[in-house]
Amino acid sequence: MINRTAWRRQLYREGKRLLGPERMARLRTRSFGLGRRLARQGARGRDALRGRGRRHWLSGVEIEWVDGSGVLLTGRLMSTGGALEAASLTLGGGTPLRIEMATGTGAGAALVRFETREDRRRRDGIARGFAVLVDVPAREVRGLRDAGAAQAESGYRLRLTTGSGTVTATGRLPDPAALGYDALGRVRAILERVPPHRDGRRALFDRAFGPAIERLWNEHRAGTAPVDGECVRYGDHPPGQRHATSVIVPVYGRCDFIEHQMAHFAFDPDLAGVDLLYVVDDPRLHVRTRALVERLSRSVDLPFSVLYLTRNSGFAAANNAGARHARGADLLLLNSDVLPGERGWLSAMYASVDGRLTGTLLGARMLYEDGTLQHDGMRFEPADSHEGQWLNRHPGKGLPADLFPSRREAQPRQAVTGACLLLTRRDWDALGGLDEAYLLGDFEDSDLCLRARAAGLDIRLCTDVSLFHLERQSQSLVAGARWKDLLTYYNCWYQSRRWNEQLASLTGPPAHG
Amino acid sequence: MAEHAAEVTPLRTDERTDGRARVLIVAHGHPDIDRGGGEVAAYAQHRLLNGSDRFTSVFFARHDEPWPVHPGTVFSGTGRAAEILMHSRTTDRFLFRQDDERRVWREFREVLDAVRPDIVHFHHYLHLGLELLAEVRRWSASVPILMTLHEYHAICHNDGLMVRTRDADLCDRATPARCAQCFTGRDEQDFTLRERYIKAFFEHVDRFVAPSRFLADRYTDWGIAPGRITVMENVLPPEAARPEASAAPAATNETTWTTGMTGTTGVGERAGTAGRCEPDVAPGRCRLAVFGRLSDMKGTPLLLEALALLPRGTLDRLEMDIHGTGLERMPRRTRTRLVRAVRRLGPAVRLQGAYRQEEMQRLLDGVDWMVVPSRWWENSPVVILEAKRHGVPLITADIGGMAEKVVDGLTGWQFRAGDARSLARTIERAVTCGPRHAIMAAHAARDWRPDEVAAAHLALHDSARRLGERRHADAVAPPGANGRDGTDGAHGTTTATPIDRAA
Repeated sequence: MINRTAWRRQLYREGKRLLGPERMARLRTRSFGLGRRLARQGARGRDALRGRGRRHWLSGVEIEWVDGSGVLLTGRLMSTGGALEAASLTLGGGTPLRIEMATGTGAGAALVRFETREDRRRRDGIARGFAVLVDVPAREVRGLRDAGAAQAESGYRLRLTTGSGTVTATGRLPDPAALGYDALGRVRAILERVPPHRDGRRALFDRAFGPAIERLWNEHRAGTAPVDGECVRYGDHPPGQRHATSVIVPVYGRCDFIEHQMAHFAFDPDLAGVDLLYVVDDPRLHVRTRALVERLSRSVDLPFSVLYLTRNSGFAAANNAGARHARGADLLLLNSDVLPGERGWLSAMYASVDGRLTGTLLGARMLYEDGTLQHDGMRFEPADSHEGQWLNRHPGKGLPADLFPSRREAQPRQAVTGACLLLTRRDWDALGGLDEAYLLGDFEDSDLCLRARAAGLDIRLCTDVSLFHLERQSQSLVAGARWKDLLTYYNCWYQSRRWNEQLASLTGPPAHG
Repeated sequence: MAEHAAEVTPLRTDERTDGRARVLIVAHGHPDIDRGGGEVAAYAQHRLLNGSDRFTSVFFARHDEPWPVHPGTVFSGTGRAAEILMHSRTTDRFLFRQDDERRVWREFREVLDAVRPDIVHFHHYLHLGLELLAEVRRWSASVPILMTLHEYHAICHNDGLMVRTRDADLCDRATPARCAQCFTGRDEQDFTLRERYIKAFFEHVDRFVAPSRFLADRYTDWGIAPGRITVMENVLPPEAARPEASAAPAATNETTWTTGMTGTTGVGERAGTAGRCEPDVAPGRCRLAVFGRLSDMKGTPLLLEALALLPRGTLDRLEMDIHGTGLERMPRRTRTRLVRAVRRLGPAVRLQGAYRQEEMQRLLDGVDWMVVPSRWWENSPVVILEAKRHGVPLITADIGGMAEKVVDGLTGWQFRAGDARSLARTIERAVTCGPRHAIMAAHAARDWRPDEVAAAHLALHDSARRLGERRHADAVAPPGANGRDGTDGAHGTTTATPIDRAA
């Protein structure tokens, strides 16, 4: 009879020799069930895994630097003898760092236990996944750096004490100096370690995943200059021209929307004097966009500009970069998949506030192609599915627009979408633009509205326009992957945590009674 | 907080200056997607009400297709005004519970809040959930709830057919004991619970509408008070405008051309119906047509069996067009057997495949008889109405809704349900009935009274509206700030002031 374990181990070794360690590491997550677990364990772990005479196992431990002073540990602990009592982590040759239990009040580090889908299948004990964010003191990091320079990489040792004894996992610690590039890729790696089940996810985010991503992203933002790029003007731009409005349109994923929007904008008298600025937030599209807009600039009289950002940096950063180049007294943030149903929509927006835009964030009602509401303002609601965190609900979404009468005057709303948002330059500057703490384009608009509310500004919605928003067209470009859903979860977590008190005081009885 | 009330404000009744009452039609499907009789009738009623000067109507339908569903909402539109589609998948056909309770208390409530109906008219609870009835009552104690009954789902767990599962025998009454015989996995108490559960939700309905007397009687037998059911024929969708200018000459040309080629004189393919079925002399064949889904219960195999029983001479003198789909849903063996049977019958019988409701007029042109060979009771088949609209006499089974809609010997012939030999004899009789066909066609056409039906439906909704207004006035508590009506005395009022019998 073949010894399966030995066979797998040999296969893995062969694979590593043939494919190189990196590709093999990727492969093994899929196909080397046992080999994967073995590879992550030291010799002790291997014994622990077999569980010979033991009453607890520790498996699947992964360690990752979050920023220069913290590591995120995830893994699974199975114990048949009582709850977790103490934990400590030793990095390199340093002193053990004590990990505070979730129930404790220790600052900085916390251990959260979660059950993974795999754990549930085991019936013979209490199996718990865990995630923990550990602060590493500066001297430890320095020590590791020095050690890293000497021996390329160092190890870690995790000790967990349960009622039935102590279990230890050891492994290699990635070099903190090797971090720094592709922050989004690292966020993704962290999100992919979030367990699949939804219950208890909030606690995981509160104590480990949320602060980990926040710290990672903050460090990344602190270390990178604001995104910028070449701003090319097309058409006739007289020097010294003053614009009433700048229309900022971020472009991501596909650039053909520019052509569709131009077809509607070109002969709209409202758009005649505006400073129309496309912000290409997708370096993959630069070549195609250049070809497209050069063709358009010959066939369309409307002058416009294109800002070619040097890297993809998300909805908030793209709009902020666009705003820095915009020359108008007012700013209109517009999505590329928003198309006017008829001309005169921009003047209708101004008319809805009687031309007095100062102190107001003005959104617009938008429709789907089948005549139903796509956006008619947002309302914050605590969601059961998110364990009481605040979600942005869209009342009336998908219902026929003719059920909701439009009025000439702009109507108050809790928040409006950034897919079409008009405000004065001065208000924008006072608010500081969109917050780039949110990742990839979600919740920045509601966050802006919440900040505006806090600053005493009005949030209103113009219902008397006909704009179409082909929401799915732009969303399908980014949606689908699990880690993207978790990214939305993170953004939701971030907003809920930041605005919890304001949101609780804002939300009264539901609008529909 | 005032701000919230201002958010997304749908029209309130008092803001609707035209004085028309708003009806919310709740259907289990949209005819754009599912072309069942119930869906068609519900949608036709929606159009009828909207076309009147007393009502506006909003059509709410559920679907479970991968239809354009927008992200973040279960709702979508059809591109036409006042139509709402809601995505919902329910599998419970025993208690008709909505699988996802959020569809009830969140999404359907959102619809009620947006539409603010003065009358809610249900056309089904299947796929929607009986809970919607209760949700309407929770939303408003005074709004009248009407429900049109389309099949016997509440009475019979066997797909609402009232046919025994073992031998496909017709069943005329449901008792827990009899139902338990049909379903081995469930016992009498399950069916007692089922009946009482459904009836608990039916309590909320102010008036039931039955499209046939037969159906009304079945529900009366089951325990609905006779006074709560109004018998009223379904509305049929208006005929699609025919492109007369272009179609008519083309048809004429074709006829001439065909006649020229075959060398026959006088009577062409598209000649009038008179004289078509005269024995011995008619050069044209007698044309029969069947419409509807192909299935055992709809009598497709029975029809083919009957046709095979016809003497060769008779078969040569008729054309039978079988319109409808359903082959693809049959098990392969059944399908093969059916197609083979059609082939054996020769060129006289053809499977025509799918058809659209709007085509009925064209398809019925020149058809001499419509056959409805169903093996179950039926209720008020749309095809019978269509036949009458186009003056086509019928050959139907002598049971249930079909027997009620066709007067034997006057507007059509009846055969013994499920009996192929009886059907064969009736077809033979129809083919050879001579000038009597024209008389029967005239009677069938006279039986089509759309104005009466429309008036009855409007009258029903008128009285429902009066009931709503009466209740509203009687309510002790003044209406709430959000348009919610008084909450007390809902059931007391419901039974105390029934809607006037409209028919």
